[in-house]
Amino acid sequence: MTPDEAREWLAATPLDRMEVQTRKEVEAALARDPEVANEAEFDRFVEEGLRPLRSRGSAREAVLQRLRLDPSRLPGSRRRSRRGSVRLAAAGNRRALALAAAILLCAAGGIWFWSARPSTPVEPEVVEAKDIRPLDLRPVEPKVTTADPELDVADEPVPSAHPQAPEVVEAPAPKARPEPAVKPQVPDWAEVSSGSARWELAGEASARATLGFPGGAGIPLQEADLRVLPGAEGKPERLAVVAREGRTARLLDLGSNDGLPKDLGEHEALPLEPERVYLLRLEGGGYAAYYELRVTEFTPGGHVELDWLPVPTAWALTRITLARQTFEEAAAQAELDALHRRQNPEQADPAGGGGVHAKPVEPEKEKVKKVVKPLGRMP
Amino acid sequence: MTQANDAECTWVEQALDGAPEAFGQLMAQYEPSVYAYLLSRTRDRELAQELAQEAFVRAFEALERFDRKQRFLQWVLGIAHHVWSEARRRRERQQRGLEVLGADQRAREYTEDLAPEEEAVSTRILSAIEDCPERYRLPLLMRYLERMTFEEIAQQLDLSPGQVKGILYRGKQLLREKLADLFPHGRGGVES
Repeated sequence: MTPDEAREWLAATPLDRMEVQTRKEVEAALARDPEVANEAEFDRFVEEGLRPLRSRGSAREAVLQRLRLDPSRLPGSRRRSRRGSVRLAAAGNRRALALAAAILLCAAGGIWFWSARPSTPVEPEVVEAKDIRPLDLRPVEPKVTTADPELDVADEPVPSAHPQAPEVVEAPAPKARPEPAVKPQVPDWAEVSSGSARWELAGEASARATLGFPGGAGIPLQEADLRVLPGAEGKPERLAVVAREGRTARLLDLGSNDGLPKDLGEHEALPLEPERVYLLRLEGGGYAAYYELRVTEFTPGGHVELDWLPVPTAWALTRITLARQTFEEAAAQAELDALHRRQNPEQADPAGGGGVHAKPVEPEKEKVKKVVKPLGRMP
Repeated sequence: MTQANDAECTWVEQALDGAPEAFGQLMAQYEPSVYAYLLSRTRDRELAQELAQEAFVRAFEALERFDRKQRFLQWVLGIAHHVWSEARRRRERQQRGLEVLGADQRAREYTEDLAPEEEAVSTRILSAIEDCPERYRLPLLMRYLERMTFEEIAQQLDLSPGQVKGILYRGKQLLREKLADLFPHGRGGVES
């Protein structure tokens, strides 16, 4: 093999993917020609340099699992839906033809008749309920914020103004919650990795439970220990998470006292409180998952119970972002209100509320606002 | 790129008939290229893998709209680009929120896994590829990151092997220039 041939072979195929005989000939040519050897070395240098970034081929199984677990994603069901639409369209055409025939008959009956009448109203097209997309009909309201930013971490997406506002707009029912901005999807390991644990801490320094998503389908075992740590009097006071070797785990508190999401690393702990909700990110082996942790039982004197549920990454990130945004909006609004009160002391609400949006807050709405939880449960 | 080949059409039809495994065949074929493309955009392995998953899920959902006049890779790369653009916009818009546990965090966590010199070399090579003109990037990544052969690259990009050869030859020259400080022309070898 000449050096040029060896160079061509090298350009065409990585050396270790060549057939044995070809590889031997190329290697012999490399040994004879330092220029070609240098070319091969450069290829190997770049390949080795990029090796840590190489795909682990993980997407395939994960995507297939997601598709299997959520049959609504199957395009077959879409196709049936489309056929329904085709039938609807055909029906629409028939109606259009009938309407055209009626118009022609009426024209034959006399144009004067038509000039004296309003045009024939077109019947609204009947659309199957499944094809009706929910519209965001909520009016855009000034955001009602409370003095306590924690209360403003609401489990709802940022409302968007609809470009074609309907004539009749109904205010949303106070307790009707819209879907989250990113619709939650059940991850493929949901069935096996949700769970709960109960700690009885009397006399113990700490207690732990293990959560994680197991192997199978190419997913390596991921585990982390949840630890409930006692305070000075031996009562459960704090929650910590410790990942197994080679994994990382982080706790995130969406409803901490100052309203800001907090990212706590390992060996840090969060205060335990009743009904508190946390996010846990567990990562390792090229896989990552978010869990929602919820304090379901809490007795300051003795025991605590937690349950956990995997949530999709996109959903978790959206929740974090929304919490952060809502907090920032509330802070900005509070600042504006304070500024306005300073500039217009005569308009200031003696009760302390008001500000730029000086409308009195209805007591019922205020009450509804207060029951908003920092983090909603997946439906 | 021209129209989808027979195998692609068959897999698409089977997937549309309710067989996700057929879609898995398409993924097996094109996942490396989609991942390589997203990696060149994000420079973050974890994020690129996540976005690749999302791109394929969206491709599956939109499979009925796949136009057989184009290649599947071309189509799914368009979706991947859209997914990446969305993620980028989201990150820009919500930078502070994502900083909590977002891409930057993941990038930090990822680079923490690498030795500093390993990280530096990977980053430099990826940056050098990204600095190349658009037409060279994906073929270079397919060749060096996913270690595809001429024929595989040509088949996926619907180019002739001669075209791929020319693109890679010029791309490699550019890459050598950009990495000259790391790999001088006369360098005899790299310890494996």
